[in-house]
Amino acid sequence: MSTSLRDRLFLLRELTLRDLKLRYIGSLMGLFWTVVHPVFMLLLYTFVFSQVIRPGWPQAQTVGSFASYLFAGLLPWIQFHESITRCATVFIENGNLIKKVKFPVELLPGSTVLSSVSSLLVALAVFVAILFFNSGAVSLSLLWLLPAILLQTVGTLGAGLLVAGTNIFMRDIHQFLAMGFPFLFWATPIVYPPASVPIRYQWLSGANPLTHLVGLYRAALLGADLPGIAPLVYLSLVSAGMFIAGWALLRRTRGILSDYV
Amino acid sequence: MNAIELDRVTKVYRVYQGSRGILKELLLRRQYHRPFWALKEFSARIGRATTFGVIGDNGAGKSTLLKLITGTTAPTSGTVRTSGRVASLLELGAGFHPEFTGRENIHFTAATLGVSRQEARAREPQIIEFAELSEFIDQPIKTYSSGMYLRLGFATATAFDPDVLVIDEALAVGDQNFQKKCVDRIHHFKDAGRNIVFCSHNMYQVRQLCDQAVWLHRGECRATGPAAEVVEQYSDFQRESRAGTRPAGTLHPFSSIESVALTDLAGQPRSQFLTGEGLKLTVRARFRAASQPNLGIAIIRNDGVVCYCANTVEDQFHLKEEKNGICSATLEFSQLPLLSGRYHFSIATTDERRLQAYEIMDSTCSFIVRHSGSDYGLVRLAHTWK
Repeated sequence: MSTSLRDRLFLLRELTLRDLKLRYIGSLMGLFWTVVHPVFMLLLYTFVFSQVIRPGWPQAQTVGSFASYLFAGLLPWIQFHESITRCATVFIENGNLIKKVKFPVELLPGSTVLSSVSSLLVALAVFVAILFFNSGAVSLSLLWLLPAILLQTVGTLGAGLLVAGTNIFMRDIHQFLAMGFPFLFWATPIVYPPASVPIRYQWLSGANPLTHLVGLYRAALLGADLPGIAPLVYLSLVSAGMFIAGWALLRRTRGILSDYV
Repeated sequence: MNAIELDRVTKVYRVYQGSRGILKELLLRRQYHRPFWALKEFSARIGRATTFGVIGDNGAGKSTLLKLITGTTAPTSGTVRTSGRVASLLELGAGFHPEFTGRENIHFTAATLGVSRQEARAREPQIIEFAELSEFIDQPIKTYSSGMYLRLGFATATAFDPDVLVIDEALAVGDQNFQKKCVDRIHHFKDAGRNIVFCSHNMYQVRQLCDQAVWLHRGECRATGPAAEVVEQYSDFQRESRAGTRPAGTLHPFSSIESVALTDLAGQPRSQFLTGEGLKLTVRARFRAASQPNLGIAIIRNDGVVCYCANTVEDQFHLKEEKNGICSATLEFSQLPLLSGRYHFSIATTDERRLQAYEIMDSTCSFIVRHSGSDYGLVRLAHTWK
């Protein structure tokens, strides 16, 4: 007896809501934290990179426009970082469900990513509202947000499945993540402009799919130049590849997962 | 059509030594685990409206079988087919989250069972009433007593018309009153023609409740058929093994100590010795693990003082293999130096690294030692005065 797709979607929704509620249950400001967290990060980074360090952004001369550039890069990063970190332990934290309830386990990383994407959506909405308030106009380029969010969700889900599955059999994945995240963060042009990467390291920046994802967000939100066809195709392929790899790992391990959690 | 069909189902657990085993196995492509066969080539067809009992010793594979039917673990090979909704009462309230209210947990559990929102809403009042929780249903579950938790767990698990109900004998919910309500509900399912899979050590219960039964022994089906007959066969086996020298102390189904004999050097059974006489202890044990097993023997005085321990791995002695997988070893003390007292043996079988005990047999073959002369102490140590 396999649960039908409709049952799964329903359960996925329940799990996502449960995760969202759980994150804010008993907390003073509830879902408001979804907004507070990125805004605080934004203020912090803006202060450091405008008052202390000045990376010299060609597109962003004023503090305000620099903040917009930073925010457009920081938002997808926060979601990515949070999803993967939480996916790493999602099977172990929900060991009860996996071991004792017949349960489609892929929904656990799935709902983790979805709940984090919904935080991203809230933050994006706030950001778009601020942009509109400042300029008084909405650009059609915002439509690029759709493929950006889709690619991010699919890729994050794939990476999340990989990390979650691996962590069951190799509990020190955290150690790798602890090194991998700072590396990825600094390899992605979030706090520095893409052009400031020296020529001989451009390939590294280009090989990092997050570079293009951030570029896509900046194009959508701030009307910056689109990353170009080749990088976008590359980003899509990496996202899809991650998803396929994650799914394949899950298919191979789903039956024995409950024996190892 | 059958409600449950198991076709040549095998479940092998991999027992790794240490956490690096899995990684080593992945990288080096060599086996770093010991397979543990929880269930071997098990087949069964359970028709509709059947109450099916599962009996057997500890470690026989009963829980594994129930987990496979529930679907919380997948078979290593073979297929498990169940029709309709399977409700497990093995772990009541297993999917509950302590931060959420009783009501929220009902709805979440319903979702995991594939129950639609409307149906869950419709059944909600009945669940709350059955669990006797009307006052507390909107409180977080973490504030519940264990009784309230289990009541809600039982009420929720049985609320959505399961076609197959998987029950463990350990089902003990709340006070006497509630216990009766649970039993009534289970009987109601039985009368309504639902399937029940019931696992128990209580032969009386199995005979009362079940139509069909299976007796599992070390992962294999020893007998199957009408519950009364299977219970008879299993009870015979239990009485036989209790009459033998077998104590209850099996930690691991990898080994069982079949017999222990204390004799003098000539092979005559004895339980009284003089200091300086010889004695022999012969142990016969069955090992199922593939690796070289270890047999350890300790002599212990009746006040708990461990006089001496010997083991075969340390002494590089290989157990002698008899037929049918039984190994034997004889430990001989040609001149027992122990002084007067009451002593006994403790026997343990372990893996070759002496890390994992398969079986420990405490206090067996007690014997008395007497000595002449005025020596005092535990043992007579060879000594000289100069």
